[in-house]
Amino acid sequence: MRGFLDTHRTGQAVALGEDQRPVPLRKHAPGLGDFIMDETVAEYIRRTVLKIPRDEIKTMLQKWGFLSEAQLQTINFHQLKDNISQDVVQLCEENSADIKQAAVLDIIYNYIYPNKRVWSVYQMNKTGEETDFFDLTDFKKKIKRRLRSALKNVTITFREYEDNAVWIRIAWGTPYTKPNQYKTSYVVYHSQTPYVFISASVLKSNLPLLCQALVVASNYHDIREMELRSHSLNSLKDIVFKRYSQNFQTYYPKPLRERDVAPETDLRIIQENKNEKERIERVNREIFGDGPQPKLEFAQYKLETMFKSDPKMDVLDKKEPFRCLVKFSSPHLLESLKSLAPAGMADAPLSPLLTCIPQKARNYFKIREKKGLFPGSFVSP
Amino acid sequence: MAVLRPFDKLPALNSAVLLLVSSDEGLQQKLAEAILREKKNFKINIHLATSLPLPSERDHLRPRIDMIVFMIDIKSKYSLKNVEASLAYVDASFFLGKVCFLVTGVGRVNCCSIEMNAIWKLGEIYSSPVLFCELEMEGIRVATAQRLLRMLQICAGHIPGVSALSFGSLMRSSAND
Amino acid sequence: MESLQRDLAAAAAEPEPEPEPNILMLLRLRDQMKQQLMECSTAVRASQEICHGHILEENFTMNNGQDLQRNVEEAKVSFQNKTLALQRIQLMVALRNKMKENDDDSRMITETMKRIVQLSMAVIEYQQQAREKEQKLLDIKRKRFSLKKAGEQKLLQIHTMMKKQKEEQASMKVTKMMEKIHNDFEREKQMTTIIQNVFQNIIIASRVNWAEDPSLREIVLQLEKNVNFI
Repeated sequence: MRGFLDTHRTGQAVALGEDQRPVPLRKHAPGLGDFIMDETVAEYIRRTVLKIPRDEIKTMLQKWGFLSEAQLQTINFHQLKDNISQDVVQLCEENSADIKQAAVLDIIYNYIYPNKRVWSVYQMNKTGEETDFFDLTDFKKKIKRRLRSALKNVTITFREYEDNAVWIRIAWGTPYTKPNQYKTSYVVYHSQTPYVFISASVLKSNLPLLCQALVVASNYHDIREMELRSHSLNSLKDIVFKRYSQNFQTYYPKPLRERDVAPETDLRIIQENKNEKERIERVNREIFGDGPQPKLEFAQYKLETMFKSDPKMDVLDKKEPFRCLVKFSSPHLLESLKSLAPAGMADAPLSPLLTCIPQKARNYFKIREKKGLFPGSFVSP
Repeated sequence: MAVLRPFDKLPALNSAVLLLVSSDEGLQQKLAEAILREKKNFKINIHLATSLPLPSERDHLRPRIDMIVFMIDIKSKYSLKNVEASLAYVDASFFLGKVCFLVTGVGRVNCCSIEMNAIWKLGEIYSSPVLFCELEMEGIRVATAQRLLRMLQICAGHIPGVSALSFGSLMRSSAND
Repeated sequence: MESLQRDLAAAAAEPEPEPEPNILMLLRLRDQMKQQLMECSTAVRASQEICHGHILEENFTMNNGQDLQRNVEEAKVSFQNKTLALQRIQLMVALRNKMKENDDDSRMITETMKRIVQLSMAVIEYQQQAREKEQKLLDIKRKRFSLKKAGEQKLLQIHTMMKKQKEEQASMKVTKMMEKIHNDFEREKQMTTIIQNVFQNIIIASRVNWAEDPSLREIVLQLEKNVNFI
């Protein structure tokens, strides 16, 4: 083995890449672990490329920046995705990619397609001090130190984006196995806000560790889950940063007469309830605002109230709370709630339990008995 | 005037007025357009309302109503409640053949939320015919429009020898067996 | 007549129905108005009659009403039957004429009829199958029920048998103990008999005159006692 190494070092010419790293030429003899890509990394890169839609692959690889323009030109992006991924893996092997670069590609993919994962919102708070200056390198160091001290086998990758957003990708392992790159958690932290968006992987046991690391690294005191979950990350940001169109109590003047004449379909059809319809529209607009609503998929209400029935029926002898779970689900929940009253399926105004979702920034509620007349109260955990 | 009465105004010449009461406005509009598209030789006006009582500010403009069709969507309990609440504002003499219940949405068997018993009972209590249809299908919509148009002609008195009452009792006896 | 003409002119101005008023339309309008008049007057008469109601008159009208209703029902039923018969005849004639023509429509009719017959036969067959399956299901249910009953019986038997066994075991234990005691007793008796014989023989073999000594005589006489008859 020793002799072989020697001949390699002295005999073969080694090209130098752009950043003065030795770029090995084509096939090497096995045994030189440094310059040959790990099979798992190759497979991971291949699978990540397969996830990307074919038209976006080129732009995403350019954003990644690991393969040079010349190398990208050699790939034919009009063939089958299988073959494209094989070509990309080949080129990555030439550039000897390791897991860190593959993780960056994964972060880029998840930044552009965040809606494939379920995000939950966490809020951190500190006891009333002024905001410290946020030091990014210090933050990254603290997180890495905290996570690595608890668990040796983790892959941590950071990437900064505009709007003070830091994306953190963590692949978890156990003390005895290497990190599983397919079971990753993502954290999006906007440094000027106390909100963190976490997409946990299946391994929920690592969540407390992650939360702890975040709290320590960002100089807060504690962190709590906000009971707000959705697939659409941007909608969650809209709700939490109050960027959606709110319902201001302004006066909407009655539309001028000219507007009415145009949509009149047939003069023989006469609408009797035009006033009522306008009232419903107005009430709806007051509640939901004019603009597009943030995109949520679920609203879940856990009822722990007493069952109120006709006293003659006497359904439940023991007065225990009646446990019941009501779940609303829809591809776009808030838009469908907005269109309930105009479609004639519900009275306007809607119940405040439904309309308070973006204001209270939560879509998982626990309703308990209130000690007064109104049987319902929201309890935050 | 909150309650609708059948003979409180004089009829206009060669014309008929239909009132559709439904909580689902899209389907209501589609049905009204389908009725208007049918070939007929009299004037027709269709009034659309979501519930009764009708707003009183248009009372003086409104002609005599010849037939009321209450549309119930079988997928929505809300529409049944709406119709039941509106029935209180119709005078009893209207139910002598000038009222009809139209149950829509029967094509989607999986989504039925209203029991058949409730609908049959409604028809029996108010002794009015109950028609079933699926307005989302073009053919059935056209057929329903033709049926309603026929019934409207009878209710408006355009067919000599057949009055709304006799037609209503004819429909009723055939539905009972 | 003037108002009618005005209305007709107004109707003529509308883009909708008949553009020019002709005799047919006037006749139709006249029929319409007659019908509407009849309806209105009936309604008026009905509301007036209710005002004159007395209790007796009400009963009278009710009885009359019931008779009238019955007559109306009978008339309606016979009318329906006659209409049905007439329609059947008309249909048959129309069909016969159609079939005579023997063009596309009649072919479609025959095909439709054939398909109807096929479908009804299929329906009958499936109904029969369904009925058979139901029958089988009932049989199976019956069998299951009888098996369950038999199972219960067997369980009961097993239960009683086990109880009996337990009692027997308990009594057996007692008998075993009695046997043991009996055996021990027998052994002791035998040992005692042997010891008695041995002592007797010792005393006899020692050629002692045991009759003279009262205590020895007592002992020997005691040794004579047969233990078995105690």
